[in-house]
Amino acid sequence: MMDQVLTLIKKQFNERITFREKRPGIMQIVAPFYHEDGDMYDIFIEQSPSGNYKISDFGLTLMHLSYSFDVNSETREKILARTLSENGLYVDEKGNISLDAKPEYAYNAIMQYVQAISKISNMRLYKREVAKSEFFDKLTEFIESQLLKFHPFKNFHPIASRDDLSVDFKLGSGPRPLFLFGANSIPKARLITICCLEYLKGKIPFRSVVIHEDFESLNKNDRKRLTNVVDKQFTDLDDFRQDGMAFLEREAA
Amino acid sequence: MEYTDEFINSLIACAKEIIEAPKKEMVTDFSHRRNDMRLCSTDKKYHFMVFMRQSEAFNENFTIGLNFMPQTGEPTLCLFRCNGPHGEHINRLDDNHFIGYHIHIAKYEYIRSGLKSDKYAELTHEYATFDDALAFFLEKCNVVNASEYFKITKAEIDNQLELFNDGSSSDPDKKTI
Repeated sequence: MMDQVLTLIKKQFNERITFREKRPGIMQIVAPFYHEDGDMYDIFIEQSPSGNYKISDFGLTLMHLSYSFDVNSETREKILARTLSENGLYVDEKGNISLDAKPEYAYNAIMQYVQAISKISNMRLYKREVAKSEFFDKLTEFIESQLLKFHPFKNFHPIASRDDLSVDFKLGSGPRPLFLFGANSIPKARLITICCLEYLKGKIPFRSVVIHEDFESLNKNDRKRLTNVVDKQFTDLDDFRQDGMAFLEREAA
Repeated sequence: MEYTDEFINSLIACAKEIIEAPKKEMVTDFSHRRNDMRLCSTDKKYHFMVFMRQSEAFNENFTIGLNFMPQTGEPTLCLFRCNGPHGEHINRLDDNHFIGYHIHIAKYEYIRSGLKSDKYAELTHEYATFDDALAFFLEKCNVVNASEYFKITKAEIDNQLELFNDGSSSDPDKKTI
């Protein structure tokens, strides 16, 4: 039965596809579908209990993606889930991405599967563009919806003559306000360090808090420099959402 | 920063030490085991990240990679990556296809062409298992304090192979590293 299906798929692909037995009953598809590093997509076909055929990757797409990008946040999980559902695929709790197909529609199913895998493999491109803009959008949204009682003032300049040393949000209107910074990159972490040092040098009264997109992505020296200068840090946005209010209330008391 | 082959090779070969230790055991994440660690060149000039991944379903599908992390804020670049025989690989610039254990190595020609830094790869006979590849990787990348964190070294594996082969089938063409 499996042989008949493979023969049919070969015919549908105009003989430009072959198969290798990966494990008994699991055939790996060898076709010109490649990751950007030149490695072939890991796509397997096996008979499913329903008598149809299951196209899957045994979790290897997410493993390959993890070389440079982890699906480790709610936003990223949502993007993954949306990409899969829009392409008719599903993922189990182990990260196996699958698609069931009838033999006569195997060609369409494989092409549909490849298209989805391409999109998922390119999620790493979001790291620099989408994810970072999302971080500031989400931080701003949280502050402007949940922290209004602290009178947030966006893009504040504590030193009038230095518009290059801005604070993302000033919270509180007392004599010693809280300067809040979002950090989503090494250059931004360094800028925050410089800003705080300059404010200290200018004897500006303030307390500082940094919300990181991903504290672990900073290297050791940058973490050390920042930690030595700022008063409080949240290692990611989820932590700030959870404990930020209590922290700010303590600060305001 | 210009990534000439000479500079790339010097980054791969420079003496490095582990500054953020790997976990004692690989951690399962989705369907693969993983571990990571950070390295710094012993002259403190360069920083690196090492990622280790192995499929749970297919043990032969693994990778151990060395990412260069410029401290200038420029993007991370994969310099060197040891892979198992997961499937076919193609080198786009010469259209060379192969299946087998292979090593991805960053090449100036590929980077200049706008291709991914680790797109070039070549077949290898230097390892056959994940542990074997890890020992090879640590030696090739010159991680000087690796023995503090990893039990197996390249020399120990070579000794085991010698014992297994009774010293009679050593490959004279085997590359020294």
